[in-house]
Amino acid sequence: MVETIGLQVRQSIKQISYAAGFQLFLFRETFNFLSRRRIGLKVLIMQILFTGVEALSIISLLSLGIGAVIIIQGAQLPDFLLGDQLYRILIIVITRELGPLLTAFVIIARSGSAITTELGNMVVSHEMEAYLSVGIHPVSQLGVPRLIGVSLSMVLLTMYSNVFGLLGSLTVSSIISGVRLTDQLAALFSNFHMVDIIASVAKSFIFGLIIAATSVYYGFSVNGAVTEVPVKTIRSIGMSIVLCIIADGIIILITVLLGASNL
Amino acid sequence: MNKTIPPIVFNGVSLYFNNRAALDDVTLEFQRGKTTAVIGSSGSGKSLVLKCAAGLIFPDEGIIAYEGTSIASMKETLYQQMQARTGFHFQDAALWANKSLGENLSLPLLSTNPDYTDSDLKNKVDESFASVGLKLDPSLRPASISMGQRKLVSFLRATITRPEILFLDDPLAFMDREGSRQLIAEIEQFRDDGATIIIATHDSTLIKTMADQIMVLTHGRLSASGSYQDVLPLLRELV
Repeated sequence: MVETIGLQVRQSIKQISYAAGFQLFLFRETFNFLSRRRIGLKVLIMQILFTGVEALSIISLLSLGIGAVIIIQGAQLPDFLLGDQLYRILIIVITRELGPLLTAFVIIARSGSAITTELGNMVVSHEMEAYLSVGIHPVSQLGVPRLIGVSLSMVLLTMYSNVFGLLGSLTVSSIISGVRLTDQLAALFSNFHMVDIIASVAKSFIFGLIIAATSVYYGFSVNGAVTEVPVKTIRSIGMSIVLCIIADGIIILITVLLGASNL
Repeated sequence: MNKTIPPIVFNGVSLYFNNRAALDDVTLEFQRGKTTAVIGSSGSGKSLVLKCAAGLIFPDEGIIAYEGTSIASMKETLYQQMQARTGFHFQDAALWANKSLGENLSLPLLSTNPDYTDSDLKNKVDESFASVGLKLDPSLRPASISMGQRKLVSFLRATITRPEILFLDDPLAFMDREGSRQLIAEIEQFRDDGATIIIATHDSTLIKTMADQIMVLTHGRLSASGSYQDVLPLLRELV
């Protein structure tokens, strides 16, 4: 039994050190991307198109719906729709929390899973070895553009989600309370602080890095059997969600400790 | 480059999959400017020898040296230089499915020389297709052509940079007679130009007409090596 535990511990340490080495290599190669951009530029553009542009419709629908639901549920509480407190609640809930998290979950489901599946299948069909054979590291060619593309798309989609979430909330609030939408928008803007935008951008960028790095890692960790691909994809999705939530907690803690959460 | 030493040397190379030795203490040398056929029954480790020699897979034990330097401990720049001077033709073509045929051929060129213009690349791709009589639209994806055509394009990808060492993993698999004829003519051209060629194959004609040296693998071990006449008795059993 002791031998089995020892073996498992050794295997876990080996896996963790491999994963850490992989991530270090991925991030190091990201800094070298500019010098090799001609080779990876098309992959980057395609990634932004798939992760960012093609997700706009689902993000707008979800954000509008959730923004509206917040107001419908909140309206059950007395005085919820009265005063500036409503706008601060909306900004904190939507901009700082729901926007980045909702976008992250959509990107994990759409792009994270697609990245792991695609890269895993490329391992199985020896396409990764083909990259190595022509002197191109597949992590540089395939991993780096996905890391940059997903992170950039995540930031832009989160901003987009915030706009639609707030718009959904204010539209419903306007209908229920009778206050004009333009007045509500003016009140909302007057309650916005720079820290809200910084927190939202920082969170979404970090979530983007986490999702891309995790998906790429699991895609490359397929060993050669096609049956491994769905297994690794499921693990990639689960791990991305867990890591995003942990990162969210850490960022909230940091903003609370810095006193920025009450602004 | 020191031309007196063999370009690739295996020293006690072993490779394990699930604790089973896929390559078992293999020691061999590939001679410069010669054509070596690696033969053996299915699963004997032929493809693995080629992939290890090309630096695509690293062994669990032993050393593989390229021009006297261990591939496993090579610096990244040297490894890239090595890959630029070698070409690998995969058994299953392994074309990049999400790239066009033209892009499949352009990428190795860009890897060796990023200054190629789009028009240079187009000309090189057209010349390459013409050299094997392929009349294909370079904008097609690999999925829209036959397996035999994919194998030819894969060969072109491996050779478009005119490598000094060419690895051919079962080059005639999935090929029809005409395609095989074209491919053999291209390989002969490379041999005549002085390239070092390493072929994993079952094809007796290819072995007889092309190989200067034959290496026989049995269950991951090098069981015999020598000229065609030396290994003829074994060949009758294997191919």
